[in-house]
Formats: sequence, structure tokens, C-alpha cells
Amino acid sequence: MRRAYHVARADFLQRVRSRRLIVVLAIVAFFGYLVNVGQIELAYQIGDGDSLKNIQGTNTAAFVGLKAGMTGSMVLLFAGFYLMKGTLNRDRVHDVDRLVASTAVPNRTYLLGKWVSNIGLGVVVLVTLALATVINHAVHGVGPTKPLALVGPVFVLALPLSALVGAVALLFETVDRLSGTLGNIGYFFLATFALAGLQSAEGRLPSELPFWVKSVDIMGHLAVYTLTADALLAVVPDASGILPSFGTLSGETQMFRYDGRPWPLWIYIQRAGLLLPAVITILVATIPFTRRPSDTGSEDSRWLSRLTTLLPAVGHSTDTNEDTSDRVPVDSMSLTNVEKRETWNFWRLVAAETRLTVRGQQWWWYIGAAAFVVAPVSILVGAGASTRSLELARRVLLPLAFVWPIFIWSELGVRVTKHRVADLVLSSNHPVKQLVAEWFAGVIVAAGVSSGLLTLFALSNQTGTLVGIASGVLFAPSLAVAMGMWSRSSWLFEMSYLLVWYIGPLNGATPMDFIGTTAGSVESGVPIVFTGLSVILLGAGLARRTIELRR
Amino acid sequence: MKLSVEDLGKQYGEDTWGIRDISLELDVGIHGLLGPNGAGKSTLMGILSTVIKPTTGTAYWNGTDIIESPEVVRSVLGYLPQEFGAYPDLTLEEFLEYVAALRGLDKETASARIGEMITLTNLRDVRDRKIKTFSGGMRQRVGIAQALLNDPDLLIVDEPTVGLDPEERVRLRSALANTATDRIVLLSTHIVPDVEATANKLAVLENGQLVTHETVDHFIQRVSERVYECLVPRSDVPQLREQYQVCSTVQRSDGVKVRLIAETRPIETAEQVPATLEDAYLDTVDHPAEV
Repeated sequence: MRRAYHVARADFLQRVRSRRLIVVLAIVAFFGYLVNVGQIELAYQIGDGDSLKNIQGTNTAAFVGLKAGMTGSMVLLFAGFYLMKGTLNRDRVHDVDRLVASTAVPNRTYLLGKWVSNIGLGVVVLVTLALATVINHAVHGVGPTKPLALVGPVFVLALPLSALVGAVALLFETVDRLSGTLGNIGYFFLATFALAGLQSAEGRLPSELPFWVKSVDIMGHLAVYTLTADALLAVVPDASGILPSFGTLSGETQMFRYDGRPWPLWIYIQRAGLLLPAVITILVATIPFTRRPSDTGSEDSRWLSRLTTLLPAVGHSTDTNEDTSDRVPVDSMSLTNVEKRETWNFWRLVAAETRLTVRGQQWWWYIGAAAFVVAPVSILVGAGASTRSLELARRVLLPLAFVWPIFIWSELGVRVTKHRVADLVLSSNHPVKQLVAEWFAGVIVAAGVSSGLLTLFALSNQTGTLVGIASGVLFAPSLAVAMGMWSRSSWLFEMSYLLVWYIGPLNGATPMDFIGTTAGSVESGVPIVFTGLSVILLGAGLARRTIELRR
Repeated sequence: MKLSVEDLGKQYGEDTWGIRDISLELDVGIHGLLGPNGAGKSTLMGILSTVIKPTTGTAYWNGTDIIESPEVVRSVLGYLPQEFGAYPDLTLEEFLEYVAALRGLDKETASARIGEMITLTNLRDVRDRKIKTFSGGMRQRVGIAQALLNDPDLLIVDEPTVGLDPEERVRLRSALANTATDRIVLLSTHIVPDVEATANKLAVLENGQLVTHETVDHFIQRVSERVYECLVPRSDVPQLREQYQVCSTVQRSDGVKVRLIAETRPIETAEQVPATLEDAYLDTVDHPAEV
């Protein structure tokens, strides 16, 4: 255990001394403010004609505590994974893994230490949230500020989830294929689907909830439902069987008052029960875990990545003496004098960046990208562009075409730092334009993957959708460059882009539908707004590069 | 061709200076940069390569302020940073093509120079292999190849021989010596023999300040006729260390052969020997001279 403690301690100290954590904690503290001023709300939503009516609690300490607990759960469920992930990679980057690999520390002990460090990070997040909640309740809340009522739900609801998310993050890191962008995307959907079990609780009173439904309550919705149901029904008797909604809610409101009540034992048992899958996950993680993974890429991707060499070369060497290993004496070598070093060509750099961008993906990514080009064209060639096929392309193919290149985009703005090429780029002739070329490469990939759809909609005179595609082609790389440059990592872009993509293009929420999958989005000019946002985001990325040049 | 530095300083914290009040002039030839760990060598090189902005002072390339107009030096610069990285999924040739595009070489020149640099660094057999399959020494040679690729007027190389085998080290020294006839090379290293074998001039940094900048011969002159070697019993070594600057000790069956610096003959049996750069360096960093 002493070894596990020291693995956890070293990893935790490394984490808490990073600037990134300060930014994260500042955001979490801001959430503590939002739950107290009603920007993050917990409410029961009842249909009232065409609109929804929100029945929500007044901001007593007990109710704000529940909101803060749910906020902690949501932060850890969706952002915690991305914050916690990287604990193994950090050791690889700093070569600490070589040191560990040469010791007698068992894999289980090492992973246990890393898991504890992940939980430690979760605790730091929750302590920040709890403190911010208490302080803000003293200023903005209703009734007396009861610290235990405010802080208790944060830890009871969210801390066990921290252990589970920390374990899943560790498991994903131990599996080679899940350690990168694929895993980040996969987790996002996993977390979303994990909430689907709540649907089984709809229409039931708290006393009618079966044990298995309670046991799959990841965030604590059912605990909150059980605790507040009586207070709710006292105000709205016909609101039984409605689960609480959580987030930024709009619409007509009606208030109820919840001043707290004793928590049923099953809540504590259910939350503690989340530790069981967490421990199992850690044990499973020891199976794929290798102390020193090979640096070489998978063989199966090589032949396809070779296809990218077809892209125009920046300069092609004509030296054909490749088959000799004899050393040519330095004194006998005659070197070409470089007369002109100002023949800088932006498009040559774009070609080089594009080649760099599309290299190194798995074989299935290239197949998928090709499918997105071919499928819309085959619709045109085959049955023709009927209304039904166009709608299918818009609602299914279009959103998917704008999530597929995330593997490429997530490297934008990060690659130079990740591969320690920053000094090389910053000391080159045009360091700012290099970033523009990198962004352009992302735009080219986006346009390339959606080129089949562009053709389909162009030939079908779907001008609105074309505007949407253009918006997506600009927005995704711009967001990637901005997030990558400012966070120096991919996770912030992956998380934020997936969130926008999930809410907008996939679920058709008009204000977020930047690629115009819905008619309402195009009519209300959402793609135009996102195009403008793209310019701001690209500007933010370039501003960061300019700051780097003045460090 | 001249690079001059005036009162250059870089402050990292309230009381922490990476370098401070550094003034020197570099002309054509190889300038070795020596100093203990943390002396400020990499900071100075970072500033001269325009990657780091100084807190005080400035630097001039042929009279133009490179802090105000960094593009002036970037267009003629070759730079090998201490922590050199390369894109692992590119082949060696592809990576050099990328650097050529960054450095503004036209296609034909890039093509010729890439072939030559691959030959110069003895990497012809692996030109089509991805860089992620390279050993540490091979990666270092990639760094050297990219630094020389644009035939730079100003070549700044930070620890270029780290990880190279002795044969490759000698080869790199020759390459640097050959290329330095018409350009300025700033070579930072901990390996004193590398400087001794190649550099015309030497700058020594300690605690962020310039201790000296002079020709290698002049520098060695500082300790000439003060270097002695003697064979002593093992038990006498601690006392010698207390009294003199001991440069090296070699264990032998009949005692310990000690090389030291002393104003007068330290013991009867001591023999005066020719001074080396290492002797002068050890004497200087322990007892900084007035500049």
C-alpha cells in the first residue's frame, strides 16, 4: 500500500501544480455561483400546451445542496473523464514509466495508485464546488446557510462517481485503441447512454422504483427525486412520476420549497455501490496494461497511410544512392549553396501540413472517409436525388460526416507542442502563417470528407444546406485551433465539439445546429452565426501564437 | 556577418534570472558555449534563435535589431534546440521536406539539400523510414540535418552530439568545422573536447552571466604552466582536493594519478604538463575571472 500511496502522491502533486487545473477549478467555482443564482436549475418539467412549465425549488440550503450535488456529478461524468485521463500518458511523456517498469511495483499497485490520484483530482474539484456553493449561498441563497446541507450532497452524490469515472479513464488509457480520440468519442457516448436507464423510472413514484432501476442511477437523479417528491407533490399533486431535469432551463416557473429531510439508507448504499464497478474496472485494466508500450504504429495502417504520400511533395530528393551504407567522407562532400531563402510559398506549406494532418490514422478511418464521399454520389447516380434521399443525407450522413474528421481536427493547434516541434516552428520564417496553413489543412480535410455531400446538395439546389456545410467546414477546424492552442491538449476541443455536435446537428437543437441539418437552423441564420464565430476562434488561435512569439 | 548582443537579460521569476547583462560579439567561425547546468546557455540560444523574448537588452544581426525584427535572423537561421522533436509518422525525407517548406527553400534547392543532408548525417539507409522507428542517436542526426538544411548563415546548435556514438561525434565535428568557414556557428555543449576540437572562440557562462569570451588558445593560456600531474597514495587525494583545483584522477595499482592546477609545484614528484581546454574551463568556473 505504501507503494500505491507514493505512486498516487507523486501523480497528484504533478497534477495540482499545473496551470490547467487552476482554470478548471475557476470554472467549477463559477458553477458554484450559477447553482445559487438559478442559472443552473433543477426542476420538474410539466407539459403545458405547447410549452413546458418548470416546477423548481426555492434556493434553500437543502435544495441548493442537491443542485450542487447534481452539478458535481455532471461535471465529473462528462468532463471528469477528460480531466483524469492522461495519468499514464504523463508518465510516458516524462519517461517515468521506464523508471517504474524497472522496479518491482506490481501492475495492480501502480494502477491502484493512479486510480487514487484520479479520485484525488475529483475530490479537489468537489471541494472547490462545495466551497463556492457555501460562499455563494451566503450571498445569494434563501434562508440560513447550512454548510452540511450544502456540502453533503456534493460528496454523497458525486464522490462515488468520481471513483467510477477515474477507473474508466484509467481503463481507456490502458487499451491502446481507446487511449486517443476514439476513446474520447466513445466515452462521450458511453456517458450519454449511461443516463438512458433513467427512462425506466418515468411514471413511477419513488416508493415504486425497483432496485435495479435505482442501482443504475449514475448521477443521482433518483436520489433527488426521492428526496424532493413530497415537497413537489404538495404544490403540484399531479406531478407524480416525473423525473427532475437538470441544466439551464427556460419557460414558465412555479416554486416549491424543500428544506431537507433524512436521506433514505438506500441512497448511501447505491452511491457506495458505484465503487464495485470501479474496482472491477481497475482489475480489468490490469489485463491490457503494458508498462512500456511499443512506440511503433500498427502494421495494418501502414499501407493506407502510404496513400497520403500521393499528396504533392514539397521538394523531392533526386539522390538515388539509397542502397549503400558506406559513409561518405565529410571532407569530400560538396554541398549546394542556398542562394534564396525567401521563396516561401503558403500553398506548399498547406500541402505539407495537409499531408502531415492525414498521416498516421487507422485503416478504418480512411475507409470511412471514402465512404462519406462515395455514398452521396451513389445516391445521385443511383435512385436520383429524391426528397426522401436528400432528407436522409441531411439528417444522417451530414452529421456523421462532421464528426468523422474529429480524429484529424483534434491534432490542430496541439501537434507542434505534442511532438516538441514548437521551437522549430517559432524560429521559422513565418510562424503565424504556419498556424494558418495548419488550420487550412483542417478545412481541406473537412471539405474533402463532405465533398460528396456538397456535390449532392449543390446539384439538388439545396443552397441552405450548402451554407451549413460551409459553416461546418470552417467552424470545426477553427474551434480545434483555438482550443488546441490555448489548452495545449486535444481533450477540450473533443469534449466541447462533441457536445455542440450532439446537441445541434445530431439532436436537431436549432441554436447549435451549425451545419444546417434542420430547416429552422438555416432559416434563422445559425450557420452564418457559426461562420462568424469561426473567424473569432481562428483569431483567438492566432493571437495565442503571437503571444508565444513574445514569451 | 556579425551577431552582437547588448546587455541581454531574461527574467523568469521575481528573483530568478536565466541570463543577465550579457554582451558579446560573434563573427564568422565556431563559438563554443560552455557552462555548468543552469548557467543560461539554452536561454541565450533561445533568445538568439528568436524563440524566447529577452527581458532586457537586445541583439543585432548585421546591425538590425532581431528582437524588433526577428524575421531578419529567422530567414538565415539553422537551429537545433536542446529538446528536439520531429513528427513520428513522417519519414525522414518527408520531415525534411516539411522543414524546407518552413524555411522557405524552393523545390529544387530543397531537393538537393535534403539528399546532401541525409548523406552528411549518414541516414541514407533510413530515409524512407518513419521517424518513430529511429533510435535516439538517429533522431539527433535528424535534428542536425534539419538545422543545416537551409545552409544557414547563423547556425545555433544546442548539445548536438548528445546520444551520438564516438564515430558520429567526430563526423559531426568535421561537418561543423567545414561549414563554419563562411558563417557563424554557436555550439553549446557539456562535452569540452567537442569545443576544443572545433571552436575558434569560446564563451563561458556561469550563473547566467558571461564569464569570458575569447579565443580557445587564449583561454587555455590562462592555466598554462600551472597544470601538474602526480602519482600519490589514495589517502592523499582528499587533501589535494582541498588545496588545489583537481581536474581528474585516475586509479592505478600503485596509487592515484592526479591532474591538478597549482600556482607552484604542489609536491616534489609532480610534473608540469600541457594545459587543455578542460583544465582552463574547470579553473574558470570555479574561480570566475574578471571580464
